[in-house]
Amino acid sequence: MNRRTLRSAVLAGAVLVCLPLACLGAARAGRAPEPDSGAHKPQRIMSTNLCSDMLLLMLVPRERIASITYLAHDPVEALLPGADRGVAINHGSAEEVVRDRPDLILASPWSGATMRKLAAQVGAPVAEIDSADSFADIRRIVRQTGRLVGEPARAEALIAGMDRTLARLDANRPARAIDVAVWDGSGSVPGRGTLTDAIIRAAGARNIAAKFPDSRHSSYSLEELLVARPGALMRGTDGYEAPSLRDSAAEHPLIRAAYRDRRVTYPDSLYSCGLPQSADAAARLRAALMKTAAGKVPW
Amino acid sequence: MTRLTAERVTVRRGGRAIVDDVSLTLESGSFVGLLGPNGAGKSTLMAALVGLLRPEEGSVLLDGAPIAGMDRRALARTRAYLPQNPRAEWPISVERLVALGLTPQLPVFGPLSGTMQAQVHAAIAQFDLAQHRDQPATTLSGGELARAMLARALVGEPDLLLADEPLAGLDPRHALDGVRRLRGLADDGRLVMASIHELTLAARYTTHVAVMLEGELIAFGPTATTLTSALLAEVFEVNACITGAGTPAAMVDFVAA
Amino acid sequence: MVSRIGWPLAAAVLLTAGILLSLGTGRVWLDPRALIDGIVQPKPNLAWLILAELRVPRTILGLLVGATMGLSGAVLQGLLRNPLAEPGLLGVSAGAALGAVIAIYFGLSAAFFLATPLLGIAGALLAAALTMQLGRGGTLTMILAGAAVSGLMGAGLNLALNFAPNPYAAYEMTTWLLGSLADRDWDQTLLALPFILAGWVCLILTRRDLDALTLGEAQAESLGIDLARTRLLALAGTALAVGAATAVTGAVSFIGLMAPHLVRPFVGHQPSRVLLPSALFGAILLVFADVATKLVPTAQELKLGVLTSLVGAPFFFWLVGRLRRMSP
Repeated sequence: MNRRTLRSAVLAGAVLVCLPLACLGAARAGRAPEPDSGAHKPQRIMSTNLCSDMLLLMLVPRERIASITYLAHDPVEALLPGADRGVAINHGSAEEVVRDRPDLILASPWSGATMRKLAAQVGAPVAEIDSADSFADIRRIVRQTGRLVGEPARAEALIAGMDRTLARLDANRPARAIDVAVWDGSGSVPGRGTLTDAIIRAAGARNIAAKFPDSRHSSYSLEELLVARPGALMRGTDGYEAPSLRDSAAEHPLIRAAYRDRRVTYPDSLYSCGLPQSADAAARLRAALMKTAAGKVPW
Repeated sequence: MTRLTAERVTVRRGGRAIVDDVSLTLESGSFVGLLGPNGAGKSTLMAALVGLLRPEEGSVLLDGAPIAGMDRRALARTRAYLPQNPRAEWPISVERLVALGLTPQLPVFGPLSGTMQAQVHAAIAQFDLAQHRDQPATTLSGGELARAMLARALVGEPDLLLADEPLAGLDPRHALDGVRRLRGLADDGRLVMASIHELTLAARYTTHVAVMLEGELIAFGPTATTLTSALLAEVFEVNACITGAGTPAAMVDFVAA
Repeated sequence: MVSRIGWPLAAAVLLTAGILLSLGTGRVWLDPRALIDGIVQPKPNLAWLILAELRVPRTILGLLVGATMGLSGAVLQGLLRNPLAEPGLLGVSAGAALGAVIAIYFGLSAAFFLATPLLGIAGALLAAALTMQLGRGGTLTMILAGAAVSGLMGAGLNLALNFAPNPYAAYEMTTWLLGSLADRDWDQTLLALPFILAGWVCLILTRRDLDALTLGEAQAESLGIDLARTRLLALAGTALAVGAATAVTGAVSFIGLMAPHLVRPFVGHQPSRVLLPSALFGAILLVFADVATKLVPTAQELKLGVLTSLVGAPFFFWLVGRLRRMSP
């Protein structure tokens, strides 16, 4: 399972678990009064989705955020250091919905219709934010979130910044596109139609896994990787450097030897969450690929 | 001349003496019938006599040396033991079953030597198992299995054989055959001890009887003089009538007391 | 039915076929001629890399693990005189996996390179000792004790993976519970090898004792067998070999159950004669199962245990049915 679906699954699971409890809270909180400052600018926004967490922190001042997910801290430190200081966290549970009394819940599409109905009874509209698989998706989602939280102008500014970066990247494409593949030993490699693929293309490289049109995340074995012979390998840094079994495949002696000077790392959060900064990720990837060894791998 | 001696052997289980202060000396050439009601401690005494069980008190001596200190394999070469209801756990052939009796003689590696093969064949012939040689031991009838186990016990030519209820579950013909073979072994100069419930067979074929009751050895001596009606009445709580003890025509009859 | 003389020939043919198939197949199809060219052509070349660095160690690991399972299954069945005994069903494999998981995910193996095999062995030892202690008293008791210990070790495994600092650890559960040979390298194979071989030596040293145990414990002991030594050797051998093997591949089930039963009729059921053929057929079974995982066209790699269980579980049913007919 790739990182993004993993995180989504974690959150969706957390949300599903809390449904019966949300039911209990519904009767009491059902007719909560509308906030005084008007429906256009929600004042107590709760995010139950890691990607929305970060977008929220960029769009609204901290005072208007009721809580963000417990997963957000590490990616926020990498992307927007200090932005989540003093912001409460949630685990997507019903108790927390009741505790936070939000006037808007940003959730992922995996949260389901039942959840939306129940949360509405508590008095909190649930907005489902899609995941982004392309830069077009990012524009759409940033606009959608900006509208929901009452900050459309701020959202447009973020999009404009992203588009400037993309335009610059597009204007200076490298002469020769390097073949790359994401290789983290999990056996799952993001292919065509994924945000990772979009970032790789924006960086001016070629994702060898995009050759497989049948599924977004292909399974790759070492043998297939050797045959495909990418010029560089990418591995996400997820802040979880603790050892796991996947390391033994990702760090197979063959790979270590052949790709010593041909490896780049990238921040997971920018590849799993479509954010305005995903364009910066593409720029960073291009710079990193420039530094990898030239020529073909030795076989 | 082999001599097996129990010196004040006591075995306790849960504070109770299963075998209580038993002393006796067995000598080669004798066939000792170990008699006594169920639960008298016969099997426990026998396990102590063959060295499988270390008594809490007292000791068992083989030709004067404590068996507790003897080398396992050396001991296994001189004495054989058949527990109650011995059986084969895998369907190995009768020939291989009998050959297992040579385990203490086997070198660490390598197959049976030619002499050993000959010993196996001789034992198979001696116990009339030739036509069953390749038959899986698990498919033998009760009498055949008893003979196969005797062949197994004797293939290594031990000086002592201790068998726990070797006649259990055998029909009269096979029981008679079995007890005769045991007597024959004693007549060949071996020391044989067997716990036996068939009193008539014991009266006819044993040379000696050892009688246990509630863990104690209450009588031990030549069959002819030891196995009396009074003793049987005391031990088994029956009115017994015994004639010709120690002769092939002995008869034991009893009615409830 | 293969004759008693015929089985070594059959084993040799099957083993050769298994090895060739294992070397010749992979997620990538390479023409056998290309593979042979790769050996003679200047290195490194693609075919050579795939063969020497991926397929050869994988095949050797498969043979080692399969032989370990077959051998330890045969010894355990002989020792316990229990046709259902095998490392998987007695919880030994799960215990070994637990030990390995603790070593890998909590950074011990990074700190000390022998930590993974050693903890795998310790886990196997613990599980085996626990099962044998709890399960004295018959075939069924032993299997029930094995199920309980397996459950306990599985729960420990689950707990350890969920507590592991790396959040993806929980997704590697299937590898540990079902076993896999995919993408293992020479280092891992060579690390496990000495322990596996030491385990084999211990296991093989029990052969005479196992024969004597055909007569039951009392007769075996009266024949001069030191049963405490026999149990210790079997326990240590199983723990060493299964522990070290499982620490590399995860728990592989049913091979240890099937292999001894497959060869027993051909060698006359005598426990000592079952050991070597059982190890051979264990290796053959495992290598063929691994070839199948490579050939079944699935998006995600099929785990080894899926295939061994698909064959092994029906075999287990058949065995249970036969035992029920035989026992009173």
